[in-house]
Amino acid sequence: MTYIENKITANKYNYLDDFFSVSESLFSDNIAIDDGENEISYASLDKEANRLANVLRAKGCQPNERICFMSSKKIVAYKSILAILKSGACFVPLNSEDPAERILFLLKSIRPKVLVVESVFFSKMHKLCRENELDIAIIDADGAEVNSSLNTSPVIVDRTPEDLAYIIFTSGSTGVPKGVMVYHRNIVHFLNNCFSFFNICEPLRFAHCSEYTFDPSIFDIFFCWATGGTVVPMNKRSYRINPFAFFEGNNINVVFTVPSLINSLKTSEVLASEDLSSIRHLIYTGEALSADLVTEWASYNPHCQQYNFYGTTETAIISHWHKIKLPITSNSIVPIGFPVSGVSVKLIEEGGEVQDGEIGESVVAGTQISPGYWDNEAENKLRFKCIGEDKLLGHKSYFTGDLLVKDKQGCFHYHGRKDRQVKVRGHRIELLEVEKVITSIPCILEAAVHVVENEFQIEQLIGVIYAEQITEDDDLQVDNYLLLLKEKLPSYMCPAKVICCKKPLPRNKNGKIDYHKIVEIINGETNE
Amino acid sequence: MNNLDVSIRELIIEVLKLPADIEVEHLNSDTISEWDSMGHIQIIIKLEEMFLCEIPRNKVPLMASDKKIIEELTKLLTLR
Repeated sequence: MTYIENKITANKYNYLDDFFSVSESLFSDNIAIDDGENEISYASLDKEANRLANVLRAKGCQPNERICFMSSKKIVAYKSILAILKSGACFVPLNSEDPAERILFLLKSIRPKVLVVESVFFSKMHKLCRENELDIAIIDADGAEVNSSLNTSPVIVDRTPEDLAYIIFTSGSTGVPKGVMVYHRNIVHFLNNCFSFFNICEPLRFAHCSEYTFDPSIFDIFFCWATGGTVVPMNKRSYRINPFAFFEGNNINVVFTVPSLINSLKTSEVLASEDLSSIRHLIYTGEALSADLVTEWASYNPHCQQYNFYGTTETAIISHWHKIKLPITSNSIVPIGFPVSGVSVKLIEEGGEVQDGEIGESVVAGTQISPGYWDNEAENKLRFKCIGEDKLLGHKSYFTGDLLVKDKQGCFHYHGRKDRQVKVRGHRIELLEVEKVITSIPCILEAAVHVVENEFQIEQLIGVIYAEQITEDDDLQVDNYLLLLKEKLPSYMCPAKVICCKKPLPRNKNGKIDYHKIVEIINGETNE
Repeated sequence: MNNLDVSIRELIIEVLKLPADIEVEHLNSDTISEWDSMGHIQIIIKLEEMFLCEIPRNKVPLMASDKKIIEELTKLLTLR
């Protein structure tokens, strides 16, 4: 048993914030967060989070109350998440870089009693709420109201593991985002599994690569804390362009990221750098992982264990995982691995289970399955259903829409999607949502969106539109459309380019947009 | 500012569709929200078109500010 396991096995984790609280009692002097400007110990973070949690309780926050928060990746953000959980409520992260229209939609949908913000966002959010007559108490997490509060004692909350821990929004095919609800029970099950899966023997420095609005963040933060480690946020915009700058001098030990980040380090010719040699656990997710990348990384960092993880927000981050064993066959895609203990996976085709080696839609059941989407009965009926013997028990399975194959060893391989959902640089995008937003622009009659890899091997969205009243200056018109889209969609969902068609978009014999011909239009335009 | 400084500044403003009179002395991806990874690629493509050169791919991530672009571009153009 490892040092960490010895310390933690006597403890029981029922709630997401337990992964911090237990460690706070064991490693109170350890550094919980190093945000590049400041550090904070477990003991101090606990005290500050308790102070904010008591203010939230005084505002009426209680279990299953949704509390939104908006912050950049600084200590105040982590304090806010922890305080919301400690108050018993459920946290809903908002991305400050999202367009105001999208933030407003989320606030109207979630109807939070309280919005916790970093000081710098207070005025902006206050104005947004006032102008739209939203009755939400806005709390500056570092403001006088919180800092003058003297109550730093732990909040006593009457709650159950079936209360909501967080809601994270993902792209929705109906044209609006879907809020995935996650119970404490769901996410605690996954994190508990992580103790035995990872052989972590001492507190490590975990990179926090994702935005809060993406659930890999939950692993980065809470599994790090569960093992007494330090969360190191990747918190400068320039790190997205030059990720190596983040690793320089930061002594990062654990990285959970998309393969494209490691590919970017490879393109920069820095894989041999001393600054990457501290990485002991490299976990890939969100994109197809090439065996050659794994092999190349291992050639420079042979002591680093690499993993491939797969899952969805609806399955509490991860449903399949495996430790990659070297050597692996070159020119291949690394499988997504085996189901996490307690997660059952069936591959279904036309209502029945497929044989090993055949492609089927992945249908996932077990403790980690989300209770459904927030306030979205139509999508819940479509995606969360009872099948087989579970009908008697009322246990629902989640229909992922992902196509997988199980090999004879029980290892799963990814084979694309049933529908038009795509992943671009790890972000899950329903192309239908983007198309609906484009056609909401007056005078755009039709839109089709497709993913194309550009000359830098970066995937990007390209839109093809048919609009009325095209002016003589098409380029100017297209620029205007792109600006309008930036006001409506997060940047990762905005097409990099829009192509104007002079006539209605091509359709197949069923009257649906012919995406094969759309690809031809895009290829014709991008090859010019 | 010399001619190259002005050209680079104008190029970044045009590609990222920033206000022409933007009151920022130095443009960089940490302070300009429009300068994301896609915006960066568009800047690089435009630089290659404008200066008729191919920027080595390992240098692309380093060019995340107007100062860095000028530094790398000057080295590249000097070698030509």
